[in-house]
Amino acid sequence: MNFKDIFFKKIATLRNLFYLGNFLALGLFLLVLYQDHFREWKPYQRKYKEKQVEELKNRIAAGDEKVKEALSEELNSVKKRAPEIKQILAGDLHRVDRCITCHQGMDSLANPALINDFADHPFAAPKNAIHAAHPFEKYGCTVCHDGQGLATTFNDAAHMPTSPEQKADWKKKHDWEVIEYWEEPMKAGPMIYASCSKCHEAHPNVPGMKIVKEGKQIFFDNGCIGCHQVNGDGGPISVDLAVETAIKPVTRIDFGPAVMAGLITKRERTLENWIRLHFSTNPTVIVPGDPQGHLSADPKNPQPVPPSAMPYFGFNDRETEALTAYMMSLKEEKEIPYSYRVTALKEAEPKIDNPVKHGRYVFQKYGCVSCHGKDAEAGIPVFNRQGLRVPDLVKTAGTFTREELVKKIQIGVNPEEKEDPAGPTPPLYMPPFKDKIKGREMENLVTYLLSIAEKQEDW
Amino acid sequence: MNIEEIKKKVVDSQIWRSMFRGGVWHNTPRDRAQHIIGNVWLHLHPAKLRKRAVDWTYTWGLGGLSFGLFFVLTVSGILLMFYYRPTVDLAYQDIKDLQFVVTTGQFWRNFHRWAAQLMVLIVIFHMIRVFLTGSYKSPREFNWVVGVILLLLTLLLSFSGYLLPWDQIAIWAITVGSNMASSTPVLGAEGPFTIMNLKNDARFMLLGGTYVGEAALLRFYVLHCIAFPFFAGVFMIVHFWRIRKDGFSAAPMDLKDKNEDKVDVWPNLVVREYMMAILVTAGLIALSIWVQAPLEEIADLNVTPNPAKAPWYFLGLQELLVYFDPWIAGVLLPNIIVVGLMAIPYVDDNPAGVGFYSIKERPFANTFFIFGCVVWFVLIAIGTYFRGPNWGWYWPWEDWLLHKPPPLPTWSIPNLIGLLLMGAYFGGGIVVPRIIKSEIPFKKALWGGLGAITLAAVAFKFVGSGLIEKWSGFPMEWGQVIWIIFSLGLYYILGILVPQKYIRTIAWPRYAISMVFLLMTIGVFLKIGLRLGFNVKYIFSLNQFGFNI
Repeated sequence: MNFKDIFFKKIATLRNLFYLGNFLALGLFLLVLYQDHFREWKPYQRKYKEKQVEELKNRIAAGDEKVKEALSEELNSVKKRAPEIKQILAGDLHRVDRCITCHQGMDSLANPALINDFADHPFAAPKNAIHAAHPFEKYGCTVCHDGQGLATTFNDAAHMPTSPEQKADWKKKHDWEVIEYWEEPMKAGPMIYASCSKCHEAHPNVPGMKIVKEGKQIFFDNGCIGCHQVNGDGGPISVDLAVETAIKPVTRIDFGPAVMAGLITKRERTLENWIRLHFSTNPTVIVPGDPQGHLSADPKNPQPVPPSAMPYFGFNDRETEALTAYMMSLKEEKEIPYSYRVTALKEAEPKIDNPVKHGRYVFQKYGCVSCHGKDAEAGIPVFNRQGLRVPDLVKTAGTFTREELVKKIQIGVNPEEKEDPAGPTPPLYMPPFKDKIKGREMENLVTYLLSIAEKQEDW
Repeated sequence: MNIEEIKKKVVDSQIWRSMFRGGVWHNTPRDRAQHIIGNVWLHLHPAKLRKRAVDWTYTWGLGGLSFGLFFVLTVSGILLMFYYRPTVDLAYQDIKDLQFVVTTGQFWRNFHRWAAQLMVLIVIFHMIRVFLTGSYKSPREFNWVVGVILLLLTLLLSFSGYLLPWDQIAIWAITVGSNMASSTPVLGAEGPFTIMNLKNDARFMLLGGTYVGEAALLRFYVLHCIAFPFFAGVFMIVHFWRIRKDGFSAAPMDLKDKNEDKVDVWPNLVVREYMMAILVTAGLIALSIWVQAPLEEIADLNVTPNPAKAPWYFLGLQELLVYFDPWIAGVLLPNIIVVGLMAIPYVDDNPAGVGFYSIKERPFANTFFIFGCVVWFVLIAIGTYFRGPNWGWYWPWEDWLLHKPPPLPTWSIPNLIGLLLMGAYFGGGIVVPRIIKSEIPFKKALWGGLGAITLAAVAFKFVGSGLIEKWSGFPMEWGQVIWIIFSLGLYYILGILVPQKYIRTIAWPRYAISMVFLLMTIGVFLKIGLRLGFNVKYIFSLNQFGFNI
């Protein structure tokens, strides 16, 4: 008998295959049940139970007879507790949050005081003023923290690390990756305060809010509003940060250049990272456009596209985080009912009598600083604009009469002259301010500009 | 009492006897036959069949597996239905609940998904097997037609289930698919000769609205869970009954040995059927343990993924949208394919080659059919692996995040020239093989012809290149030379030589029908070549009728 005969007549016989097939199918199905039974969340509940039992036993041992009687009943009920998925139904907010399945200390029905003696995650129950003011049974968790409340596994919950060390640790422990197909991964660290404005639109005075307010101040100081709008207010050059950017679906973001440049990995494509990249790197790297027209439909008639007009501000890490938090705070969640919201009142403007100082304030308020420089002294670079830069107003303002200057501001310049006629249209232009800057504001703005202008020689 | 006595007592009891026909099992031919005949689940089998017919390698168990998969899909589908509510607000969350909460929920969802994909594949393979073994020939013509209907129902079952998870792939796959309905002639709002508008056309009927919304979800749910399974069940009953009545095609009677030995179906055939079923089930369970069914973001009609792809088995048709007007790619061609498939047993009157694989006895039929399947799967492969954002050409190793220039601008051949070219193509293909009465020496003609085509194409590259560059602005490339050799060679071999050798003598109507279908199949391939190699948009274009090919 050769091997073939032995194989087919002795080993791979129908009878053997029959048993093999049945046991294989049965074994695999048992594996399914095994996997289903040993779910990721169960050890956390078991551990929490052990900790509770130990703590109660210690207290019983330390206490007198009366304490013992009172606590032994509690001890029994804790011991009897079976593992189960726990969830908060925050109906008004359209959320089902199963976070408390593992974070059991946060179960406000089982632990109403939100206090326990455990220091380590996920068992600790840090009571703080914000938690106290927002009862979990009404608000749930993810309305502030974000993440996937429906999930019952570590990675699917969309946990986000606060530090590179934590990230490395999670990768080791949980094989962690940024979750795919969930638009709102958790807000890590101080970024959580960007959530407050979902309801408290006027950025309330709580300690952690500092980062968002700082971001707002940096936003104002750098005149971002000159090009961007926030809920409709601002310059027409770029997108509305509240209505478009803060709610942009990840699939609509073009991460190509950023990933190709190695700034982030493919899996790290989140809205938060997209916003952050605008501050941490030169925006022309992540939005390079197509200045040579290589991507045009007809190579014989190239249609060049300029890179992003946004200048590189060179923010440090702290400023970058603050700005990112502020941008994230601009998001409006349509699902949240209006009865939950506190509308922001319009902030009062400072009263300034000195015309030049007021003019300086107007120059700041409408975002002129973003392109012309903090003191109108140095224009930013503009791709393919004649001279490749925004005019330095200190030098040029003096060449205009007062009326000419008013007119220039009112009408703007669009389109700007090109440096290279074959190149793309410059991405930045002077927008018309006719409808925005009027009356005293215009008067004082021009007064300010003429006051800092270098004196022209009389002819 | 020992075990034998207890067994006898149980089997002889009134209760047992009332449930199961036949008494205590004796391993005799009579009992084995009785086991098949007396069992409602098994009695569609004959009691005995020729030994040759139980070979694994004849059917590969594909027909039985198709039914087996339909069965496990029904079971897993019923389990899923307990947790799934077909409304826009709840559907996606219910799928998440299956994944995160329901006991073995994720497993059953995976199982249902993979079994459905496998069923599409297995049903297609079953059809290929039936074709290659000539099992559709008289008296089984009608059962082949029923089989084609069942193939369609399988595709529709899978397609309608695609929408139910209500995630991004779901609504966009259905949007792409249902948009084809609106390019139906006459009945679609965007098709030629339309008498409908967006609010009463074929797509509106399919979706219950002008976009994929609540009504569409409910419709697809009912179609998926009730209507399509019902029709599939009805046609399956006919299909199985006809197999029994028309006779199983395998191992046809050997005229030299009319009293060939037969073996009992129980256990010889039944155990083989069971083996295939259990092995595939085990494979599916393993697949469902380790590979998770996809679930993307919740459906959002305002966010179109780029590209929006149909389910894989329709990606061939979606890829055809590049080459033809939508109603031709999405409505006309699929209908031609279906009608063509159904017509096969009535056009092919060659009685040879029933019950075994044979390229020798049915050279033309098998060549044509395999070629058609290759075209179909090549189109699917292009749509699946080679198309990226903006339906641009991305190699499988290229990242979709990469920005690529769009394809070069296209041009159309003037109608008159296009018409002449098509006339020459179809006329030549139909007339030439027929009028050459004597058989051309195949090998000689094959190599001679291919050599001539290659020489001509290479010569054209050197002589005509300058002319082409002057006219189009682009030099001729070697890739285009290869396209020319491939296209002309394909037409020469499959369109001329093969029919000339094998079917030039069959009756005119059958010959003409076969050739028209064959030339259309080759034509699809050639059009792909013209578009990808030469940027030709249309060969012939009647915009008034939306007839652009």
